[in-house]
Amino acid sequence: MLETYMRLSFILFSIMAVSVVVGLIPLLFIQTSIYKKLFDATYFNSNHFSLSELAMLNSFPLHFIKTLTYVRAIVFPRTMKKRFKENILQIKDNPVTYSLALLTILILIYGTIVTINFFIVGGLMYFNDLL
Amino acid sequence: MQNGFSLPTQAQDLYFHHVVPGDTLSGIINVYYPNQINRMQDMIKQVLIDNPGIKNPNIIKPGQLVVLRTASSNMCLAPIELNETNKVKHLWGLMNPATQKAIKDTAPIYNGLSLGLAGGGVGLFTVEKALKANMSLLNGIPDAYHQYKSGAISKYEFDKVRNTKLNQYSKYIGPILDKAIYGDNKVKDAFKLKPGRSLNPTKSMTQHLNKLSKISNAASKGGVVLAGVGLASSCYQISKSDTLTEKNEIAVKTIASTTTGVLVGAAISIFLVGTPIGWGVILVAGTVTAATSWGAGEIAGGIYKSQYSDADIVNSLGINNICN
Repeated sequence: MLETYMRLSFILFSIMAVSVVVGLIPLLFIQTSIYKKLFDATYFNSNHFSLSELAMLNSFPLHFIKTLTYVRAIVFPRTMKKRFKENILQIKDNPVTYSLALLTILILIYGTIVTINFFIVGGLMYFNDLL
Repeated sequence: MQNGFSLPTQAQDLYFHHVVPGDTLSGIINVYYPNQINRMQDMIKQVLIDNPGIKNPNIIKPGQLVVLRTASSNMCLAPIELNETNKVKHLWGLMNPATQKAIKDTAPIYNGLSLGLAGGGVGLFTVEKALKANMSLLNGIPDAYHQYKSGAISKYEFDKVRNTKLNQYSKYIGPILDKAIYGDNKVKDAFKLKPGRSLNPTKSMTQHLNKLSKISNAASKGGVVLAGVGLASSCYQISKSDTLTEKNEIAVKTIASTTTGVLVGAAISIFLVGTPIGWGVILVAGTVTAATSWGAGEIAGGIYKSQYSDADIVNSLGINNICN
């Protein structure tokens, strides 16, 4: 039973690893290239973000965190209204970009669940002297 | 001579291989006699004749000595010349198990080195970007000064802007960077205006902005170099491993930890961006990401070893060739 669970979790984890490489990273690249304006330093200014946030938003290579900020603003607009005010993109404005942002969030949610499950498997393996 | 096979005549006609965990007889033969898969059964028969201690070709024990023939033995199964990679493996096989163990014990040092260098790289990237983010704040001071000189704003307003920006800057670069860049001088001293005493009263500001720019560029390059060295160190571990299982295990660990690091980093970031955060939270988030990615790598390596050790990932993805 544990062995089957272990194998299944490993397969799901492998799918997640592939999803990150061929899904999440290209998605972030695509969104970065589509909305250059939102990655302009003047848009992410100190009126909306603290300096430490600005440092973090700029600290990840390829501006992935800036892209993620934008993704969150699109998918969960209510939580980011304070930051972006009326500038948040609506689904009716650009359905393609909205879909890309939604797909990014779905991969992240899937990956998070699989990773948590993977650590549960790791714990079970450890207590059964399999790790 | 038995069944067309013969016994070696001299010690120099032989290779001696000490079995290590994960070795298989066919794997060992493949190292010393590459590209001879179609003759594998004959070779196994020959090795069994030369090694009376091996009763079952599927059972060899770590530490056991396996005798193999060299090209000069002039026997019916003379191997082709070893290539450079296999010469290294041959030398490794000649070492006694204690020496092999001592060398393998250094593997955690390489692991630590990889992790340390990768962490150092990320740290330098962060320093560089933090400085750049703060520099944009300081760029506003000369602008405010020129506004003050042109009469657009009062001296009080200029002082307020200047003090606010310098205080924020001092707070956000933190005491360590502050000390490293400005020494015993206060940030305010470093950015002191020299009105009336210089043709360019904002010269000292510009100089310090240039200095910050140079430091951030150097940090950026250092980060790239450190990250590259860390990656090379991981690759070195793969090339150094003498069994396919070990190579695959390292590759699985690396892939799992890297992808988990990207995913967890992204997942944490997407929830943090909605809330005002400080350096402490960034540090905790970074630590959690690093710990999670390391843990996922270890679990994936464990599952691979116990369930999927027959899957050859390093060769199918070409990692072995790249690292060699």
